[in-house]
Amino acid sequence: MMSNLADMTNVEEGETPVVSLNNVSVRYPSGHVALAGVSLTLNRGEFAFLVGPSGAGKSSLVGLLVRDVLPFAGEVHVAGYSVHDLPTSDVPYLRRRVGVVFQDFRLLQRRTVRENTAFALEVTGAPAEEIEVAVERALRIVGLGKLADRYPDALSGGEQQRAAIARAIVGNPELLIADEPTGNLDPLISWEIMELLGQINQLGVTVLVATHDSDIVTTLRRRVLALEGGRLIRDEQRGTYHRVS
Amino acid sequence: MNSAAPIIESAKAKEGECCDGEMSRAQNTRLLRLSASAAMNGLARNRLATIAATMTMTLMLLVLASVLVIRAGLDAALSYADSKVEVVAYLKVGASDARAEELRAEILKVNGVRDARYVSADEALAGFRERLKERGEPDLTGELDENPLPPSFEIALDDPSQTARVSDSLSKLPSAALFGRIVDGRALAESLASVTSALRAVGLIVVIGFSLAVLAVVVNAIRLAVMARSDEIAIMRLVGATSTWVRLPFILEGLVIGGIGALITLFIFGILGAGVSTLMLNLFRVLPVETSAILAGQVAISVLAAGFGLGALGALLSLRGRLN
Repeated sequence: MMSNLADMTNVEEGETPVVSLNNVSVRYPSGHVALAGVSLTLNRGEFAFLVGPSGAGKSSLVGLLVRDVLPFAGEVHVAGYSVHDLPTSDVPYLRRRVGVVFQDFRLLQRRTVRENTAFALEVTGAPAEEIEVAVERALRIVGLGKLADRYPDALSGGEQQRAAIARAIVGNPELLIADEPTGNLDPLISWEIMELLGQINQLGVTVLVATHDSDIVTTLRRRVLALEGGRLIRDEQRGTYHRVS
Repeated sequence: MNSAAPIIESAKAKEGECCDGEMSRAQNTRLLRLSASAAMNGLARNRLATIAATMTMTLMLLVLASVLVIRAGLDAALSYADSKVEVVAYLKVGASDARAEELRAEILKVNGVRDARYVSADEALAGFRERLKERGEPDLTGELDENPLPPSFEIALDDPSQTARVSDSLSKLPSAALFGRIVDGRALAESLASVTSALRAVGLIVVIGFSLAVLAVVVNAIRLAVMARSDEIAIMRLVGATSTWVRLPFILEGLVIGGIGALITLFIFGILGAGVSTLMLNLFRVLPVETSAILAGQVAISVLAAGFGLGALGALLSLRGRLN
């Protein structure tokens, strides 16, 4: 058990990155170019913010990583999958390796927190015993053990986002993408969510957070990837939200 | 962070165990179980659309079954007419039975003749009396001094369309002088055949028309279910459910609608079965009794296949382009 942990957390040089974009462009049928010549890598265990004004290409980049958006040019590798030429039938297997949370939580209202979390594994055909163990662990990590049997409408925004995070990590993804995870939350709750994402990162999961929250980005001083007009204009370790001139 | 260990370990264990796209038997069972419960929930949630779709399906299948039964009756009548005498060669009245065998041999040599049956004058009169009795008409033949009916040969052909040629050949036989009249029986068969094919075409059009209506109603019902569960579908795709897992509940819903429709149809036909066979016998007189079991089997299979097929097809059509 411990040796596995060591294997995963000690990132060795030359290891295959979890995310690798090589000169990627995204162009929509309308002709709009959402991303132009973007290259970047995220190594296993990294934590990075993705920032930029609306329309900069953040959503397209997130879409690329789960094969919701196809690149017009370039290569996209995620969790060992060549996303740019991935057969449609393999897309579900890519998505099982990538957890995603959104600003609007996207929980199923007719299911409890526990059921929402379990749902992500049920639909992959996992056995019930395995699901039970994984769900309890995920709920413990996000701190919702006591609220597991509540329905989403009986939870605060922060609790709902924790439930969404539980669902995103229950399948042990290699990559966790948070797309504006604190967009609907108070500043204090936002900090709690960021702290939780940081803890999950410490478990060895690579985390990418797309956000507009300049306070959080600037305060945390993590890696910052800045997009503007579809181009990657900044890639700084220990970066800030705005360019420091 | 101690909880770190299990999360990683489990991730590793999972990699080895699955993921070349192949599903284990246990996985298939879970898929079916979850899909079935999702399908039942979906049907219950859209009760009105489900009932409407099932009722339309039942109506269509009743029409289909009726068309099949009527067609079988027509086919039997047609093959009876086909197997009946195609050419009748009447001998002159009073011709003796003595030369019958010799004449029959001669007729059998004619190209295209499959069989020839000799009907003596006495047999002809007996048959005539029987027909009178069947129709309830008074039998006055007893008053006759002698049999006014000629003996005849009922001649069956290899190819029913060749009646004219065979009649012609018969009239040129060496013993042709013994024939009084040669009757071409083709006209009857032909008119029956044309009525049958017209009815077949009408039946086909009716069945196709009803099938399209059923498809529209099933597509509508399933589409409602898809829309009601659109959030769930979005999450399923997000967390990596394969398209089979996403689609199966809806396909099952279509199959349930079709299956229930088929069962109701067969139930109704089972109740009406006896009445229908009597009706068919009265209508066509000739439907051989032993085919009714085969016919019932064919109707059952066709109704079930059409029900399940239309249900599944409706589901697939309503899912098309919605889940990608």
